[in-house]
Amino acid sequence: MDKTNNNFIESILEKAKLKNLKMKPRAYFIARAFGYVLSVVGIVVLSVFLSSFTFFGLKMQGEIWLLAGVLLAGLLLLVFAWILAEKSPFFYKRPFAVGLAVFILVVFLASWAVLATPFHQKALEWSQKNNAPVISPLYKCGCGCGCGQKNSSCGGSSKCGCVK
Amino acid sequence: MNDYSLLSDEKIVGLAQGGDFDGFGFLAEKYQEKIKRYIRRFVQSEEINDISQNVFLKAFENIRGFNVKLKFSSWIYRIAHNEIVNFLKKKKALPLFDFDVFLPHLDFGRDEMENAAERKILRTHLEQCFEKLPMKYREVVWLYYFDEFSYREISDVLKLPPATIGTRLKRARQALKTVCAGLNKVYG
Repeated sequence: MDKTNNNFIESILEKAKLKNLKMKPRAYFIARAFGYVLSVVGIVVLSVFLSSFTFFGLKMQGEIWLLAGVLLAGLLLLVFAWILAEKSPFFYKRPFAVGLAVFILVVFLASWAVLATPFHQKALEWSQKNNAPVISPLYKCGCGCGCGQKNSSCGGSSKCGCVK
Repeated sequence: MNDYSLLSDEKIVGLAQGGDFDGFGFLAEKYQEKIKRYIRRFVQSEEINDISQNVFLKAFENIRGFNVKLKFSSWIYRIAHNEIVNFLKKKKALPLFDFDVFLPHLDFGRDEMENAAERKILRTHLEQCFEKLPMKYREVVWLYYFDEFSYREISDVLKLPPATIGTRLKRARQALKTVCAGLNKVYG
């Protein structure tokens, strides 16, 4: 090792001491990787929920401005999930457009699968029975079952399946 | 004591992850000149030393997060790349987004088959004309021709698809023909 190299490495070690730098433990990286996967999956699930809700709301003839907003939020979340996922080799080894297409396809298929279940219908009934914050107004308004009404009245739509 | 020169980088990282500081010192010594040279190509200021020190400090701090199944050289260059990007962003000398990463390319990311002599001539011309190349081509050109990384390794450094690397190299060579007169003798 020549003198210049020595100086360089010594200055690194000196700086490390000065900044009190330590090797981060392996558990930190495992937790970070776990958190990363969890965030991507969580955001995709939220995106699936919002997009399937939009289609459910359209079927129920809900407030169009609200549904447009919900769909936009779902799309933004989807793009955010895709940006996060681009850090992993599976995605960055492929063209970005392919990664985004995969995400859109996954969300579309998952939304279609959710719509085939009574999930949103059950959630609508639940939100009419309970005045839960965010969820109840979202379902009532988004499904045309009485926007802004605190009680469980059915509003104009006969498809609401409101609880009497 | 280990004779590190007999071990692969990844094996040495494995030892460093277990607390072998000499192993880390060996790797820092091995890569410091390459990393400095790489940084010097993009940062023309007195901060080169600070940036390269930061690269190794970050490597030291995060070495336990390195997957020993991957290549250490790609990993350390990735840290250097991030440091350069951060520096250039602070100086507002970097575009925010390049659209060529978005679209699929027909080049399927295979390494170009140039012979050694051709590469040597090209490298000589590149030395002279490097600064004239558009910024987004410089990094792939440097990693491919001077540090002799494969498309796959460059892809891991820049986190871009190998096909985009191939396309950028192809475009960089075309750009070189216009900015570097001597190159026409090599590629006609």
